[in-house]
Amino acid sequence: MKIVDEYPALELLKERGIPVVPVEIATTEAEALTLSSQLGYPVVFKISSEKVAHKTELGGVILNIKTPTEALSAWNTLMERAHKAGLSIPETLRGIAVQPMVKLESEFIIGATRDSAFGPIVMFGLGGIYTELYKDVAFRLAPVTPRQALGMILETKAGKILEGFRTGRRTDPADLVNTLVKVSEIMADKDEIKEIDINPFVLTQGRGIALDCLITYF
Amino acid sequence: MKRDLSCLISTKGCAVIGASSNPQKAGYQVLQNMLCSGYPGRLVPVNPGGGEILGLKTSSSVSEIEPEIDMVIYTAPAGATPAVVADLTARMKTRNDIKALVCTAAGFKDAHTPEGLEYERMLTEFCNSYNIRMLGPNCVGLIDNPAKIDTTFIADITHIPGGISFVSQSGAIAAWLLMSWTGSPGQGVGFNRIVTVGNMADTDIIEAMEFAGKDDNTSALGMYIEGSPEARTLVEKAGKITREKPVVILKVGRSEEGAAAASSHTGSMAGSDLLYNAAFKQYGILRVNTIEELSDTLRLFDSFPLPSANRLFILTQAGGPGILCVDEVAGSGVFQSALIAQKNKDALREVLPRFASVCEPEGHADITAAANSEQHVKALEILLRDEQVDAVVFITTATLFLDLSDMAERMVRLRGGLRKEGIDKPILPVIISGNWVIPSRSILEKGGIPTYESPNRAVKALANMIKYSSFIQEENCNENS
Repeated sequence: MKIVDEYPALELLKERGIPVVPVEIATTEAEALTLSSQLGYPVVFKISSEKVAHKTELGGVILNIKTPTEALSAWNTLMERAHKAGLSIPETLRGIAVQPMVKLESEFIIGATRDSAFGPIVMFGLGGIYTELYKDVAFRLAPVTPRQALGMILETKAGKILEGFRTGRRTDPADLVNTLVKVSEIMADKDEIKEIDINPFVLTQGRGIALDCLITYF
Repeated sequence: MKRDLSCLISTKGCAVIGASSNPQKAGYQVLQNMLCSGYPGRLVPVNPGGGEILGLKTSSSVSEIEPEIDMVIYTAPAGATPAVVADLTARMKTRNDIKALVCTAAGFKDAHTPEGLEYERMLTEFCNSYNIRMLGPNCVGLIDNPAKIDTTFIADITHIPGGISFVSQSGAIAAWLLMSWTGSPGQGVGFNRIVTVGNMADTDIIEAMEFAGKDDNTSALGMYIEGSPEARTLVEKAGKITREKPVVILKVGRSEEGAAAASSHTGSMAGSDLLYNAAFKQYGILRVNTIEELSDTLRLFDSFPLPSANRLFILTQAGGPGILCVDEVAGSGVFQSALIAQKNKDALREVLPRFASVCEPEGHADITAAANSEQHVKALEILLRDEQVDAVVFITTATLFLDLSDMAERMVRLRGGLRKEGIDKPILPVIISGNWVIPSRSILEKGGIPTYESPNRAVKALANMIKYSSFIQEENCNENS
């Protein structure tokens, strides 16, 4: 079993036409500063390593970096944490992934798994810290049609967020539908993939994008 | 290539191994049921003791039977397998005429013993080498009303042809359903084909499902399943049947694999029971939770055409049961209240007792206990004729002064008359309650209108019908767009 971490996983999603957050890898301090100003502050720095699937456990993510000074200090902090974890560029550390800070309006999970009896399955649910608690999820056998994907979204309480619950603003679910369809197609095409976990898939300013992803191969 | 399962119903000669003159033995009851079903072929009890059983001359072995034998029912103990296989092999070497074997005996793989496994292997190997199709072991076989065959030892079956077919991984669940039908107010429910699969040594649940579901005489297919390692194939093939006719599944048990399978969020919540729910929904397969819901839903499908939409009218003569009904309707989330025309509201007020409450709220009328049998049915007619009404739940509670039988007869006549005009909408009568109301329910059921024990059961069955109907409409819409 092999887990593909965020950076290459997001690249794969992007190749398949799924909207993902812009992400660039910096291998030096100077590159990190250049990329930050190119992407535009505020930015997010993340340790990027194929050895690290769950970055937050290492303290490997620093959010909301607003200035070059903060960027330098974030760079140093992450490098220190990486070294403590035994990671170094280039062997075990790809570098620091630089992403623009995205204002989260709502968070979802889009996932897929391969069940021994049902084969490829696609999943949609509420994201964030209450995912496990509410189990507000919908499943379908993959691949799904756009209409079936929309049905999954509307079946969940998370779907109510799109209909404007509390905010009163309706959100076009097109990016969610498109992503569910594409993920279900990847899963149906590629038998070697065991799981895809896009968590979170966020809505921001009317668009949906994948912020993080893990892909598990057999 | 295996021959198809039609050999199970096209039989002209059937030998029953283990036939017995002792009514306490399955080998007696199987013969009895074959006779009751009106089996038109030659039925030969096989018993080394000789003589006659139930007026049929016995033969000491299958290989000695003179006429053609294309089906064998094996009811002897599993321990007889080596002798049975030897006898059948001798027959195949000389006559080569057996095409189907129904093994109702238990004690094979189901026994979880080395002998049991060996017997099952021997039997399966014999069937495979002569291209004989087998049901079981450890099943009750099949019933096909048009073909007049019943290999089961289920008690008290009423063999009335109808459109319901049922495929089961449990013989006892099939027995439960069939016996409950004989015990229903109409003393029988028409059905087409029942298939039980037991250990599935040859015929599995998926092939049995297609055998029953694709039959032209089947209008609605019911299933009892405990799970299948080929769950995906099962739902995909069931999904093809749902395009033609409803598939209603009582699914029990939970397989542990889903929960244990994965570590991510996705996997940790993909319990396979959830997956059955999701897959059933995706393919328009209806999942029911009880035998009662299974039976009510299948009978409703077999008795009425699909409603064109979900606009329901609740016609009740009693307050409390009507409110129970309203709660169940609201909880199901699939109905709309029928908004009938003003002229029909006026017509209802005209025919009903003065304290009747009409369309307050919409889609609901409380006609009060003062309503007589004629008023009940006149109100029903007004509703069924209204274009805004797709179905009516009709609730009445017996009183000593209400002539229920007259009401039931009028309802049956009303439906017959409306059908001639091209109006046939689901009517779900709930006549409360117990022994007193059985004669009127019997009139309705014999007249082709199933009745319900409670408003809740009626609404559950109708909700299933609406779900199926809207699935089919969406699918058709999608194909045409």
